[in-house]
Amino acid sequence: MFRYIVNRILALVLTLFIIVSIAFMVVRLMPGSVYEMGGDLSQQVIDALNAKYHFDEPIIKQYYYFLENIFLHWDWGTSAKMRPGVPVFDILRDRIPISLQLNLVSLFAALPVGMAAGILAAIRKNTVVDYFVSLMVVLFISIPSFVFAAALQYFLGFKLGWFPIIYNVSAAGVARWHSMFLPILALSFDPIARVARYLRAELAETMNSEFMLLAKTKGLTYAQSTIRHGLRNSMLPMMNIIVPMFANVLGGSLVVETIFAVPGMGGLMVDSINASDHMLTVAILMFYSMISLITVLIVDISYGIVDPRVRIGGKK
Amino acid sequence: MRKQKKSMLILLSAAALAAAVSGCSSSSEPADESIVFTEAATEATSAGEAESDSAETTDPNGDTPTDEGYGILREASTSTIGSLNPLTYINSYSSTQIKRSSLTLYTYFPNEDYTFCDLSGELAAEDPIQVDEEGKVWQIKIREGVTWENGDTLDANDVYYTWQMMLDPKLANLRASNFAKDVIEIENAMNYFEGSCTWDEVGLKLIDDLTLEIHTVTNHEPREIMTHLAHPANCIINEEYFEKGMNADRTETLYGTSEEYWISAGPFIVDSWTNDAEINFKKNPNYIFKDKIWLAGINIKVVEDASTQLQLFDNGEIDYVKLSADNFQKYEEDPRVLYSSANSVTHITLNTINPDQPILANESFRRALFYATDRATIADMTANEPADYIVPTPHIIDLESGTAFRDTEEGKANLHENYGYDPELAKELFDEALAEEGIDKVTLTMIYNDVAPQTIMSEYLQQSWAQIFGTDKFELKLQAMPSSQRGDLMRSWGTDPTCYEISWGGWVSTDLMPWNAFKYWTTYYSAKNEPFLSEEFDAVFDNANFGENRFEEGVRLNAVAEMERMLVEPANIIPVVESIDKYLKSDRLELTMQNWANRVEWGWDYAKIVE
Amino acid sequence: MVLYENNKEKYDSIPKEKFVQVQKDQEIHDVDFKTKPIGFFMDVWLRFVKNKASVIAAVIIFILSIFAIAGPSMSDYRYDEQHPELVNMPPKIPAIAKMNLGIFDGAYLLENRQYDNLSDPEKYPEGCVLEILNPRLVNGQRIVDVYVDYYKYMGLEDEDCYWLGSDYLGRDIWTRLWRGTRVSLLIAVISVCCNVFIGVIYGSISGYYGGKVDMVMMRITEIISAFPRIVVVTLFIMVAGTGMFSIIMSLVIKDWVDTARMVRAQFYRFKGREYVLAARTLGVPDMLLIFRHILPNSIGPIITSSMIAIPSAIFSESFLAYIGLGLQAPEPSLGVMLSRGQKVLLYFPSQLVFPAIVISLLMISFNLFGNGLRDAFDPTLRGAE
Repeated sequence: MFRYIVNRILALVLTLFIIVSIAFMVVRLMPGSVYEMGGDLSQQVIDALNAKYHFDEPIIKQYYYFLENIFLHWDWGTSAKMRPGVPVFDILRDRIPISLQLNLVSLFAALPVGMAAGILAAIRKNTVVDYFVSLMVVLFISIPSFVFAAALQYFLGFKLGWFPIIYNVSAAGVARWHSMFLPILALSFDPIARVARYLRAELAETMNSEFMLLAKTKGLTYAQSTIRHGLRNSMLPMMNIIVPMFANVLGGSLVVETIFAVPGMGGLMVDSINASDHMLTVAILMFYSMISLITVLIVDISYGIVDPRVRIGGKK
Repeated sequence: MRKQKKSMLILLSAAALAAAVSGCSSSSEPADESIVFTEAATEATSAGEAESDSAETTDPNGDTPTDEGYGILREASTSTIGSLNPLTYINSYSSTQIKRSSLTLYTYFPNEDYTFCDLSGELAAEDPIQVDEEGKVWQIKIREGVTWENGDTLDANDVYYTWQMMLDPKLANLRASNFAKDVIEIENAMNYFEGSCTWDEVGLKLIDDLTLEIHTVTNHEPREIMTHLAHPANCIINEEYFEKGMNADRTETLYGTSEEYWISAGPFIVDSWTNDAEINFKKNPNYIFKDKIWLAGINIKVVEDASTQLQLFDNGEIDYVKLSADNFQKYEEDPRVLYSSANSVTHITLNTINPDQPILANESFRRALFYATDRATIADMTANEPADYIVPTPHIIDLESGTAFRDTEEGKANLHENYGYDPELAKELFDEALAEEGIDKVTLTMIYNDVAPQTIMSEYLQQSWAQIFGTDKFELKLQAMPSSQRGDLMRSWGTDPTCYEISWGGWVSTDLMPWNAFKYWTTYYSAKNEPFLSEEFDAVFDNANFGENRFEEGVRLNAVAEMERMLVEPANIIPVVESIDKYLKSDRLELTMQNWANRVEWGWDYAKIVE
Repeated sequence: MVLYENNKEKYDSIPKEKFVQVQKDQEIHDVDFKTKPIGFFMDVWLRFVKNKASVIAAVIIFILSIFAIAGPSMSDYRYDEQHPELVNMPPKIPAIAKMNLGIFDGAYLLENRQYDNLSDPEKYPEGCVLEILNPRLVNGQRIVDVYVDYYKYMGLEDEDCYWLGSDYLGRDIWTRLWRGTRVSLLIAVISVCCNVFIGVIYGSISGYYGGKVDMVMMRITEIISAFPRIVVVTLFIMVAGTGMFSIIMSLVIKDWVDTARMVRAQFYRFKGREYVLAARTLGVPDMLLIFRHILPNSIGPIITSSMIAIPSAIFSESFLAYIGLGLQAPEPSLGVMLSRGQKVLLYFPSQLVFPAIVISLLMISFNLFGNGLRDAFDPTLRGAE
């Protein structure tokens, strides 16, 4: 097992390196040079800036400088347009906590609700409760988040005035939580629906297995057998969806953050690509890639522990 | 007392409503005299019509501004403040905020009666003093006793340090181009920047603690020097903080990137700043012209979504909001809307040297496009003004009399009938062009930004041009892309002539020097949108901006008219609309400006909060 | 024998004639099945039709598809036909308008109007004003909100109407909505087909051969899936221009990975089974093993997951449109219409509501349909109540 994990981590580092390299090349090849933003820049200044950041040299050489800075100084470069002069990871550092906080809270709020709904639906399978949960799940999954978020903002925030229209960065204490409510609500629909749907399906599958039949023949009621025996077995596959959810809390949601004016990670990547802020774009790409790789790794490792059949190896 | 009044009002309006409804159901005739109009629940008190009612509420501001000021102005912005460093800022929005909390040598204030702008010394004690005969050497006297936020003295040494850092070859600041050839050109400034001379040779000198000297390449009048130094890139930086943020190689500085690396000296002080989210300014009690500032502070929130902004405004959480074409219909007849001309004419730019589309080099074809553009309809759809010209309406040709170029005879001579929309002539020219080129179908691709006005205009032209020229003979394809990429693609025509065919352009330019605003089409301008290369044009431009006889009456006026003609007549660019900025402001905000004016605009910074 | 020994007397007492040979002259054969044999797909079908929700969902998908095909030609307008003088018209369907339900009657609330203009027949033609609300004084001027029959207000005849209103260029939303549905469905279906095609081949090879091959192939998928979609799409738009092709390709480039992973997992599950071992010992070649013996096990999950992938592709398209990377104008799609509608939600809510209803219906029905298929395909649910 230990060797397996070490192997996987090495693979991860290698993958990450490849990703960063590809990202670097791809971003540099994208149209839109860093220092020609239609502003009043004289040619001398553009030349000087290009020389300063080596944009005038062949891409391979730029890549070399890029790697050199990372390996020798752990310097990932500075932002050019979003916040000129600021080291790229400082920008991420400013943005991540806000997304993290919102997403974590919404996830912790959503998980119990989603699980309760899923269990309820499975226990009361093919009853009104089940249909209601299914309907809710389908609605939450089906309506695009920008419609949902905009509607929440308009009705609960603007029309009824129950909650602030936008997220309040500077407020503290209750006021801050109050202003966080709408974005959290908007963010929690998706995990609630996913968890409920997945759990219901898993439970329904477990219910058909022999040991459940045994449990029932031994006299347990449907609900008892579901919760005591079925649920335990369904929790493991749940990791499949819950781990990625936790990994995504760092990512932020573009739509919700834009609508509620949350200065989180959500819009950063699109903004930075649109602004041709190359160094920042590479850093963000690398950040997202790392999240997704680590997520896969955690899921795989936990699966590998639980179910040895999934480990690498076993030709044909 | 007030509470009672409010409930009375509610009762009244309810009665009025009932009356209105009943009146309506009995007859569909709207002009029913039973409708009672009352002041809305929010006390509307604008100074102009302060009648018996509002006279009761005394102005909380007092007669003259106090050191603390009164009331917080609350703004929302769509763009973020990337950096407050005046040497590297990117967008004009940042520059507004830099200006709010820093000093420049000269700046634009509202004039005495708040009807126009006035360019005068801020840090500089007086207008520049001409030292030599020709007008190439100028001395600037600095005010005494000016301080930074922390009490340190701010004098000529700081200005000198700013200049030094601005042109520093190692830092290679973005805004160093401010000292390249523009309104004025400083001796050897760019040579030092490129490393080909020493700092001593640059025409920027420190005489003593309160005196600076500037050496220019050509002769100037004081006004030109002042205009140049009023640019926000000339905001004075603080040596201590600038050095504090500097890295070991002296190639980057963190100055102005966060609260920690920022120190204010302007009308307002940065009180708190959450990057990319919110910034709070408070009034600077030691500001030189603190008597002009009524506000206690300004709060700015970054809200990207336009409809969220409007909800905030309707909810009374921000004090003014800019209306877009999307939401303007709702406020079409609203007396609260403030209209202001913006400094830019949106035009179509054409890549005349594109080898794939030789027809773009054909003048008849370009003129066909010019005459086929129904500007009135486009303006109507986008809530703008039609424009068949380049110099925007508010641009002033003669500062003394305040005459706008568009009001002069020469300016009017450049206008076309029906805003230059003539489908028959267009069709004629189009057929002519096809015959000249010997082809029977034109297919063009237009690149544009997928944001409200450009989308509407592009999609409208796609259909209307095809209808005028015949769908079998003309096709316009549309391709949307993000604005920075579109801009770069357009500007790469020098290296790749096939980079684009047609697209949109629009330059925001100095509204008090329309002759300078034509620099974007000179051959030596670095970020040209279109390959318009004309030495004749350069000659006219140079004469209007640097020529010996440029101060003589009518020279600049004629030059502006001629440059406009040279661009529009052969349809090297096709002007379409002039944007009109529309704002809604809340009742608690009272503008001191009597009207919109160049440079100071609505004077938000000089406004009052009445509550 | 013990039985006989113990009951000897009892058995012997039975007379011999009573014993007859049963099949002396008859042929021995089994009884014919009274019913037809049920194949795999028939089995699936039977279980599927039992699930009413899925059947309804399938019907809705069918109806929406019919509308997507025929809808645009039901109205007189073309999808790109502009009427600059009639922009942002409210919805009006004459038959419903006559019923006075307050919907689809072309009524619109004009806010913040000058009261003095109301009597001006140029601006407000005879009979267009329905109701005057909220009279108030703003800056000393008399301001009201006016409820008008917008079609009369614009000086149109009674018969003229946009069923679902018009957009910012005066284009008919009904026609655009269904054309948009068609485009969105096409994008989704084509991209999902490509995904399945690539994913199945890739996943089978990776899953079947395992070991180093699997290791390398899975790292490649990881790299691909680590790239955020927006980057891939932006690049594609740069290379291929905005349009259907680049959107489809961008969805394919990333999403086949999911199919591949799923197929690989299925292979891991089945390749160790005894029947595969048996087949291999019998010398069945690899390709036959993959496609004939193992892959069919995955048909259920593949169909199910592609059904669920369709709504997520529709979703992705609308998200792309939201961030401004949509289709080439004037081609509509649900995403293009939604993102436009979201911007004017406060002023012309109908422009958001109609595409939102269609996209939600599509999503709901595809999800339910997918669920139904999964239940029908899933062997573990076989025989369950």
